[in-house]
Amino acid sequence: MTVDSTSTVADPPPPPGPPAAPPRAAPSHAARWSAIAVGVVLVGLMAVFVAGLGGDSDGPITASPLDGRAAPELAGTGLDGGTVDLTHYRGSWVVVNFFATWCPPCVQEHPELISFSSRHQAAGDAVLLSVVFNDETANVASFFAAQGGTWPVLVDDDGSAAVGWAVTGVPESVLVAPNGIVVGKIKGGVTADALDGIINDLERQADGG
Amino acid sequence: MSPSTTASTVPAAPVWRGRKARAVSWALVAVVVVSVLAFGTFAGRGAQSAGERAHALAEEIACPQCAGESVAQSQAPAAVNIYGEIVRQVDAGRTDDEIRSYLANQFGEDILLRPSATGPSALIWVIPVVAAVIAAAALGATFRRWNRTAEVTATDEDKVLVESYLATRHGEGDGR
Repeated sequence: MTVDSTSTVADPPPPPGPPAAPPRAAPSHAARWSAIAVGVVLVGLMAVFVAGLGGDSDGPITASPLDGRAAPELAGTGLDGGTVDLTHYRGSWVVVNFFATWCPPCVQEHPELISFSSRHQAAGDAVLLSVVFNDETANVASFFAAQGGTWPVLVDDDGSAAVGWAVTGVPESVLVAPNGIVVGKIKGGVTADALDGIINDLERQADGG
Repeated sequence: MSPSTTASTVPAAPVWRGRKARAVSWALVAVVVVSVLAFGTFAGRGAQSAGERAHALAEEIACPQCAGESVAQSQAPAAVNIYGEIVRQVDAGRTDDEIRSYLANQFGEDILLRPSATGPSALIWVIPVVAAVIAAAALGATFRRWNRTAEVTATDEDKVLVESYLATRHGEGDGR
């Protein structure tokens, strides 16, 4: 069995001894600063991400890029062959309702729209304006004849109105204030009471209440 | 043939020759990489028909009604409408950028599958480039440090120290 020579080096001979290990360079702070920089960047990115998640909706109203902007142009031929033009309704709240007869929620909300239209018909403070979304004009005409509804209906044969109003599905209702500014979008079916509630809230906010 | 024979019969290439060959290799690699990137970027961007242009644009626009599909792929009504709008705007002579910015303006930036290079979306393009530059710089710094370490040479004083230490060790071994 061999004995490790290092175990015998206890006696003094060593004058020269092994060369001392070179002193380690003073620890650089680069690594620490890099870690801090990476941490700051990550926290910043997370903050941006979290900020992007929040504040997307307020009740039934959905945030839309159109909010706060002048309502996109909306004019063309109506279901009855006449002209429909959104600008004719300046001074009233306008509910621009995109719908199709092949869409069950659209059919389901129709009585509510009739109710909303009737409530405001006399005062004229709020009007409905429907836009046909990817549907045959004949189908829509039959639908209105059978279900009722006397508000203007715009035929959007080429879908340009739907794109201009950023419609992603039906039913969708965009609320336009009396000054012609878009104030919100409601995805899915609406009720007359919900529409009135939203309009009342917005009027109260405008009055500073 | 043994390695020693080879070493003795083949004259060592001059250092500059090796460096030149290495530089040429790197230059060739750079040319190939740039060519491939350029080809990938610009291929198919030649003269396109209006329909091809519209389709290419539709591939860059997300279907707002469905997940993970472009307007070109989807048959959802909203996607069909957007495709039609792209075709109309191409026919009307609008540029690709004008059409993209119109759709982003109406639907929001999220509709662009290829984020724009301006505003906050530009981070998506900038961050990888910055990361690549930092990584390359760090790599370069590391290589330089390694090279510096390799260049350390023993001084005469070092040699004397080593020899005396070894002599001591040998002495201990003999005395055991």
